[in-house]
Amino acid sequence: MSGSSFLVMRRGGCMWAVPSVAVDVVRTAPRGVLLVAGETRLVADEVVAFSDELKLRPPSRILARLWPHPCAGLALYAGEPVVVVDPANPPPGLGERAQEPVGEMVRATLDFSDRLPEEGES
Amino acid sequence: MSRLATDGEGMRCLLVQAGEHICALPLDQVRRVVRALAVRPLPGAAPQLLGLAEFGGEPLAVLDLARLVGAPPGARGSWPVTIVVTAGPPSAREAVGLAADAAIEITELPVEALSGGGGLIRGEALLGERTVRLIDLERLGEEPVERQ
Repeated sequence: MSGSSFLVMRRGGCMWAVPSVAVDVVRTAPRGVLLVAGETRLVADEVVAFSDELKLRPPSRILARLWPHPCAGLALYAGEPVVVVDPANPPPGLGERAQEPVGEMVRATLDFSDRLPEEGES
Repeated sequence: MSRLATDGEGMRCLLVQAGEHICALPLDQVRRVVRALAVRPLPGAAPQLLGLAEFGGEPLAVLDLARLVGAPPGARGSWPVTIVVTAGPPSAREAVGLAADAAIEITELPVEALSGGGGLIRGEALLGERTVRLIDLERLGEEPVERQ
């Protein structure tokens, strides 16, 4: 996957990354940032960057034993460790299956009903 | 069994404080001793795994040495350290960080005086008035995994 573009985010004190092409929607939410990737909804504290310079390393045997969650690899971003995951199978605390169809999520993102008032409006 | 770094009479080891235990790490498997690395926790990890840190331009898993050896918690170390070691069987060595309360000294451990042991602890020996537990780093990764 090295050389591909990744969305790097922070959640729960750790940095995570998913392939950018897998992300359909990114929007702000009361709990931080909501990302929709296929049927999965990911929750992040913040989106840090889009990077195509992550160099993936396989997780060590010891790490895989003590943290047995699917992991596409490890990387570094700005000197911090990043765990690269499959958005379809996120680790605990990072994702959940979307509660509504992706189409509804996209329409909600495009909803301008709470837009800022234009000049002259109250 | 790993090649012993000996000076003729014993195994050269780094002594470290981990909770209330003094642990001996075979010196030939110790790569670096650094001030405690900033660790990023992983949700759902076994308690022995403190998280991930950056070391030498690479991500590094950092383990709680006191927890690994079942040491009762001791006084909070004034100079906590991370000891970067090579661990696992000789055919599959990998770098891992061990969080400890302090690095004490390098010493010769009389291997023939070791007794007891079990799990990660290869044996115990008396050094002066201190009980020292020799850690078998080749077995790191085979110990039972605590579950939260």
